[in-house]
Amino acid sequence: MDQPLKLRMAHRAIITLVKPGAAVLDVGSGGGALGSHVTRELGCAVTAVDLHPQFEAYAAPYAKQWVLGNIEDDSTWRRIEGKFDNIVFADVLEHLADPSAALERCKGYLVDGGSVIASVPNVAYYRVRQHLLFGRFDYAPFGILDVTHLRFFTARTIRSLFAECGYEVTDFVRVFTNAKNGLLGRAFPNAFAYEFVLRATPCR
Amino acid sequence: MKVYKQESLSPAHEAILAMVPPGARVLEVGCATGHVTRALSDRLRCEVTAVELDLEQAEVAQPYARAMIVGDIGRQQTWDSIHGPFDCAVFADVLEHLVDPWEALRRCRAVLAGDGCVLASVPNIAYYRIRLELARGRFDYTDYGILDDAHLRFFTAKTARALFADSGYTVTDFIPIYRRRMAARIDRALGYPFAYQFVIRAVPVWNP
Repeated sequence: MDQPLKLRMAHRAIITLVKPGAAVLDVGSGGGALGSHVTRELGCAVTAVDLHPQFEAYAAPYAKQWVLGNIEDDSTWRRIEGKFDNIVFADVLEHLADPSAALERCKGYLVDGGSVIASVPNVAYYRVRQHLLFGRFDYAPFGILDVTHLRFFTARTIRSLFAECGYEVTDFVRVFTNAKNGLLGRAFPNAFAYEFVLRATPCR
Repeated sequence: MKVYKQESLSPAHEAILAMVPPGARVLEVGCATGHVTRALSDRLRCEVTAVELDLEQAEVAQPYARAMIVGDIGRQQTWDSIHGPFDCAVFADVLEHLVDPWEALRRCRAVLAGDGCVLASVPNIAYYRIRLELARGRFDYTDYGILDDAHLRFFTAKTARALFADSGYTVTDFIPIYRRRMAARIDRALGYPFAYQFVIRAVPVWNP
């Protein structure tokens, strides 16, 4: 959020899943790193949604439409125009009180063959396991236990969230923050992955 | 909206009730179907103002409360319709359901009497079973219990105390709640792995 133009690791994984030339709904557009990248490099047409008015200025240079509002409110969805090939939730679902409702809602905004692409942090990351094993579950200003996170996911529960909402997960990518974790992740993928990135399409 | 219907009072509820002075003016936040409300009114003869988000549950609890307010405690307008002062504000298994429990506790200060207190119970995320589950990679929400799927916030002994300290309160009582017989001193020395919940009594810090 503070570094608007730097692509985060999970963003890079998301970008590989975005269809070139797609109509993209970027939920939680923030500093616009992802939106401006897919506009510039992939020729996508981006609709940017964010809760915070200060991000309008970041969205202005690239976004086709800017919508200010909370994605948990009906009124926000009503102001979103058109349908999309990809709806992107880059580190957003964990901030929602009811992520299922948002995923259900997405179905009405996807074209046939469209998909949701999301990244979520892994609460079963080895550091969090280690901390809780010794009694600590301390919210922090950023990271997996970011104080604004309301929902926590493991590899299994993020998949089941999508399955329960009527999606089929077609791609599932584990994001490792460094080479050491990547190596350890070969043996224990769900303990050393920092985040998961998935693409999912509504079941027919 | 999920219905939290309990036939009997939990040990945490009993611990809260034990700290409510008989006849007190009580604000009960998140009364659900009113099992605590009933004990406050009938057993302790308290004057209860109850707040509940869900209309259906509020209607069930209504007979036990002197006043019933249907609304979201996360919104200022709900607080505007709550008229204190209260001797006790009870949050029985409620704070963990709020997006911003810090804000709710800060707002609560305004409706407490000068010598009023907050009485709250919160589940312990560092309960041994949750520790072991996460150690093997599981963090599965369930219908009820510590990982109730309606819980948005999780607390340990340390962060539950910090929740009150950061919201302008001093914790006067901190009671671990056990599901079976347990030596609290040993559990405390271990960092409360066996406490299922914590019951907290806290008073506002009026002049920092």
